[in-house]
Order: sequence, then C-alpha cells, then structure tokens
Amino acid sequence: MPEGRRLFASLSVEENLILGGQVKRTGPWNLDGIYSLFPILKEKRNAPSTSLSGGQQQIVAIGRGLMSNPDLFLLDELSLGLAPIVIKDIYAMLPRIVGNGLTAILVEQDVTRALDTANQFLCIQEGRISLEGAPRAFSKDQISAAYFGM
Amino acid sequence: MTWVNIIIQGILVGGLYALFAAGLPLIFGVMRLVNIAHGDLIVAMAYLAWSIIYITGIHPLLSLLLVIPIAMGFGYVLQMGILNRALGMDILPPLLVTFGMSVIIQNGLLELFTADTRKLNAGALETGSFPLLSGVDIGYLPLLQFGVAVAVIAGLQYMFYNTALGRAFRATSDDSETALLMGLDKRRVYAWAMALCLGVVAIAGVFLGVRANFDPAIGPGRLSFGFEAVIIGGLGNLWGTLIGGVILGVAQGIGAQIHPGFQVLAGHLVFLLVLAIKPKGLFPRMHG
Repeated sequence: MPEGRRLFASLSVEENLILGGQVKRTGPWNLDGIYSLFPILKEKRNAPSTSLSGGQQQIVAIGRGLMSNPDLFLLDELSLGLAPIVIKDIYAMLPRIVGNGLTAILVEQDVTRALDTANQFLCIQEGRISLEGAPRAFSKDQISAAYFGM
Repeated sequence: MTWVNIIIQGILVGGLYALFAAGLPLIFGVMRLVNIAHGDLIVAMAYLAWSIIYITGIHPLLSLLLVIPIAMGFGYVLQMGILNRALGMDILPPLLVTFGMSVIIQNGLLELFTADTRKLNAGALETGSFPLLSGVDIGYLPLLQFGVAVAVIAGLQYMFYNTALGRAFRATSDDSETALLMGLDKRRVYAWAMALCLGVVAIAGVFLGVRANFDPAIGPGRLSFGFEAVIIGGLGNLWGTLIGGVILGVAQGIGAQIHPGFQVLAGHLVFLLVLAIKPKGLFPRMHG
C-alpha cells in the first residue's frame, strides 16, 4: 500500500480493487472477501475512487493491496492525512487482516499507535537499525532517543 | 433541397474524418503522445491495402482482414521499439520523433510507389446509391463509412470503460508507477494502445483509398482534419470526436457550395471559431 494511497482517480472503487488482483496470485482474498470485510466499499463500488473520504480511500488502498494476495503486506504511512478517529478505526481493522499467513510491515509516524498494534518493532535511523525488540520492552524516551539519534 | 443534401452528405463525410481522428485521443489520453505521423500512417495503410489488392485481387473491404492485423502488429512494434524510448517528462522528443517518422513515411512511399495517384477500387459499392428524399441520394459507400465510424467509436468507448484493457489504459494514464505495483508494465500498455490506434488507422486508410485518389503527400492534410475533429468535439470525449468530424464535413460541404475553393478553408474556419469560443471543445470530458 503506497504512501498517500495513490488510488487511480479515473477508476471506480471496484476497478481499483480489481487492478490490485491483476497479478492473479491465488489466495484467500477476492472481491467478495474485501466487501464482507469492508461493507462500505461494496456500497460505494461504482463510485469514482476520489469521491470517497480520506479514510474510505485508505480502505480502498488497503483492499487493493490485499487483492494481490501478498505473503508480506507493506503498509506505508497508514495514518497519513487522516483524522484521529478514522486512524483509530483503521487500526482496529488491522488484526482482522494480518494473520492467516500474512505478515505486515508497517511504516508509521504515529509511534504510539504502531507500537500498540505491532508484534515487533524496529527503529531505523539513517539506514541503520538503532533499536529493535518487542513493542513494550522500551520506554517512549528510549524510542525517541533512538529515533532522533540523541 | 440542395442544402438538405449538402448537410446530409457532409454528415456522412464527417464519418470518415471521425475515422481519421478516432485513434488520436486514445493515444493522447493514455500516454500524452501527439502523433504527427498519424496522417501518414493512414496513407501508408492505404498503400498497404493497395499492394495486397494488387497481388491478390481481393475486394478492399476484404483486404481489411489482412491490413488491420498487420497494422496492429506494426503499431505494437513501433511503440516498443521506438516511441517508448522517446516518451518521458518532456513532451518535445516524441513530437520530434513522430515528425521525423512523418517525413520518412512520405519519402519512403514516394520511393516505393512513385508520386502517381492511386485508388482502391470497390466496384459497385462506390457508385451505388438509394434515394432518401427527392434530390437527396444516399451513397452506399458514404453510409457504410459513417456506420463503420459509429461502430469504431462505440467499440473504443466500450473497450475504454468496460474491459480489462481499458482499465489498464486508464490506470496507467492516471499513475503509471502505481500501475506498475499492480503488475502493469506501462511500455506494454502503451504498445497495446498504439496497436489499437493503428487498427483504427488501417480502417481509415482503406476508406480513404476507396473514397478518393491518394498519393504519398496527403498524410498531413488528413492529420489536420483528424486534429480538428478531436478539438472541435473536445479532447477526452469520443462521441464528441464523431460530432467534430460531422461538423467539419458539413462545414466543408457548405463551403464548397459557396465556392469550390472554400471547401477546405470553411472547415478550418469553423475549427478556429470553436477554438476561439470554446477552447476545450464543444463537449465535456467523459468519465465512465
């Protein structure tokens, strides 16, 4: 899932999802699966993707990524540009996606939110891993020290 | 009744202009390429049809069965081999490359086929007509031409908005990097667009050759009719392109009635008028 969602503006919601499945990998995810997980997308399936709210667009981007049935799901800046309440909803959905053989790597500026969700975290500074471990093993100060390199 | 006749004949000729034009918005929409050699490719396809007919003796309409696939294959290779290398951030290189192609095609045709005018002979189809009203006879050929133009535009429209290929075209046009994440290689998507464009060019070339004499130098003139039809109708609206062609055809018919020398000029004047009043064309951009 690319940073900033990058939906295809001239395609409908459903067409965006179908394009995600273009690579034709087999796996658990298909249109019906996405629609039952995110009923709002089924409702808006024929709407132009850019007519949706930011949070809904983010869900389309997630759905589009899932449609390729990845082994490893890369989520770049999941919370970018979204309202806090929407961010909360989207994170609440993540446990229903990850698992069943699907691993996700999440790159996120909202550190608290990311730590609450993750099984493992890495802090990378200037291309080197400056801190890694279980999310609850370190204090906020330790993480920000590793993050800012101070 | 003369005027009614002029307008009806103009509408039918407009179908041919729409065929000249129909590939242009497809290419521009998908890859932002303005193909200066479009008109010369139409003429080259007329010569290809002429050669096939010369060798085999088949009817021009039947020759389409060969000309269309050859043209599409050529379009695919042309895009993969040359035009993809010219496309980039800058709009100038592809313009220069297609301008060069235009010069090469014209001179190549001159070398191969001489400057003599040629024509594709469609026999009775060319001269047959039926009376619609008194003083208004509809020729079978112009009617067929118009019907084919409508069918081509309806087909392109359907392809663009309802098929996997059309989806790939629109997605690549929106954001080719993200499309690549979905496994769509823009070079191949562009090559398919050019193949389809050349398929339409082949149809346009055969009808051009059946309708009138052609020689190696008339390509740029066909291109200007095509461009004008697209701009009058509004870029990004295929039915607008058909109506743009019709407006051009009717304007030329009326111009010719006033004075034979005004025929082409009248078309250009209407084009300039539309450009001055509605620079974005008469019809809005279409979505889905």
